[in-house]
Amino acid sequence: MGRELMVLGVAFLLAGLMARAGRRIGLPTIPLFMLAGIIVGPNTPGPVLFSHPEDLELLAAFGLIFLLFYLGVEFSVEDLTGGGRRLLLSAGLYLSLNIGGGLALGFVVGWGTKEAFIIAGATGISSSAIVTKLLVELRRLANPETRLILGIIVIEDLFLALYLAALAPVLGEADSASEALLLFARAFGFLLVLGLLAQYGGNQISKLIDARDDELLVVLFVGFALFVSGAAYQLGVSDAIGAFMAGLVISGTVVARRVERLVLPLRDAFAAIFFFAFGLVIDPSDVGLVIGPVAAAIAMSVVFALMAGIGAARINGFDRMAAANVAFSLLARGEFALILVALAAGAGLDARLQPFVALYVLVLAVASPILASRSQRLARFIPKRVCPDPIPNLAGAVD
Amino acid sequence: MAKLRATPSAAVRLPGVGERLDVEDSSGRPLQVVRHRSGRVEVHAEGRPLLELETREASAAGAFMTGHFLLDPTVALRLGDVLGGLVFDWVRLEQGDRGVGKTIAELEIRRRTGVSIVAILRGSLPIVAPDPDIRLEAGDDLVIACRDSDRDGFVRFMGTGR
Repeated sequence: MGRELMVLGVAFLLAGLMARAGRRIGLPTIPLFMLAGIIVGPNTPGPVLFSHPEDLELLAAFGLIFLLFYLGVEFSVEDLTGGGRRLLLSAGLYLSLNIGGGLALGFVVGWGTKEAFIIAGATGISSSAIVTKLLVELRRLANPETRLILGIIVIEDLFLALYLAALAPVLGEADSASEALLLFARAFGFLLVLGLLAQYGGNQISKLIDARDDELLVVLFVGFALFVSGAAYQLGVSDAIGAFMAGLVISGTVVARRVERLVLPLRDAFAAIFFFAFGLVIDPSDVGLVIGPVAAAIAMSVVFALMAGIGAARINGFDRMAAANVAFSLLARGEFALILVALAAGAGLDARLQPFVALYVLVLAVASPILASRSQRLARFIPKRVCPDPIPNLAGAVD
Repeated sequence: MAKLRATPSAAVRLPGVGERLDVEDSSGRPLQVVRHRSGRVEVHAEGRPLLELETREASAAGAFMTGHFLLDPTVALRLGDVLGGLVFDWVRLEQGDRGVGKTIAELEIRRRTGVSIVAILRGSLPIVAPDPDIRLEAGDDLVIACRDSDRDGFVRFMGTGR
């Protein structure tokens, strides 16, 4: 027991210290948590902290659950409708280009149909954690396009939830079409019940978990989140979507703001272990197997991010600077790609997905902040012809 | 929701971050005030941050600027806890809303919605603790006290006539 605790302590410390060093040079935390795991994992020379990465399974699952639970608690319909049709158009453009491209790439790579769906999700959905932090740190919160970027992130989050829900039955072990249909029906029924609960059951749920003092509230909402996640897993819908729906149910209650504040430290601690544990299983010598597909995926993501950024700027009447800001901010990939590949590993899909997504996330999570901080200079490479300067009164009308 | 608007706010929501308010300084230069959900405030002008205040300083400065009261900022931070789930808010009645032309008694507002109307702002004179027989008019601003969870129900009740 003493040894296990010490090892776990070293894991947290190492992840935290590496992320702090990275922060000094403007790097996000997620790739460094992962890197810490890779370094002390069984597949790299040097000290091996965990020879059995599966020992961390439960703690890592907590991380995944709190990541998605927080997303659900934070979700607000106003954020979705507040941006109007231009936001929906811009987000639709971004998602259709990136998910569509990812799916095509997945089929070209040829690891299988289920694998292609994982690749599509992993390459198509930005990291809300990295993007939000990036905008704060680059002092861009007051920029007109920032609201658009944050709005697109919200829609991507919601899309991820739906994608996870649709994916669970696809990844499940259905032997026949009727069995697959049953799985779909079960997933849909589960979502429907929790959706109805979120819509109409707010009072009952807040009676269940509400408590005047924070201590009891934490205990009760953690219980609720874990129970719903576990129930979802048992039904074959994946614990991730269960956690999101549990959060969504709470988002409609009077305690939502308090839960949102209280779950943050839990999310931060356990999510770090989730990323660290993912790093542990990565074998750097597998990179050779996936280097081609990763290079193709990165090139594709950069091109599509730029196209979507320019498209979004045109839709909203923004200039080239804003187009570059949108493109390079949204290029960051992180937690969602890793969540998807964790699901894939659980379902026993092609083992090459893990090094593929690890390398892809490492590169883009590091590249996006570097590119975004230089987007002013990079914007000059966008031809004026494709992204004209806006008509002043149109730009003014957006906000 | 018909024409009834609850607390019109010029602020723009920044999902996951906070809110942004666009104002102009006295020379007409556009300023953007960003308030993080933590209470931290940034003021930007011409694409650059002009001013950054941590939560306590921001609420002290904000309270001072309104000119109405100056609080020890820690009091403002604790206010939410002290008041618990109690909310004070105001909603404006407009032409065509269900409540227009009826009295508070006729509408049975407190019984049906759990909300108390503590004052009516009509013209320049506020009517404090209004008589239940007072007839509501279009343009009235109703100052309400209620539990947080009852507020939306009140807005629906007064607004759409359902």
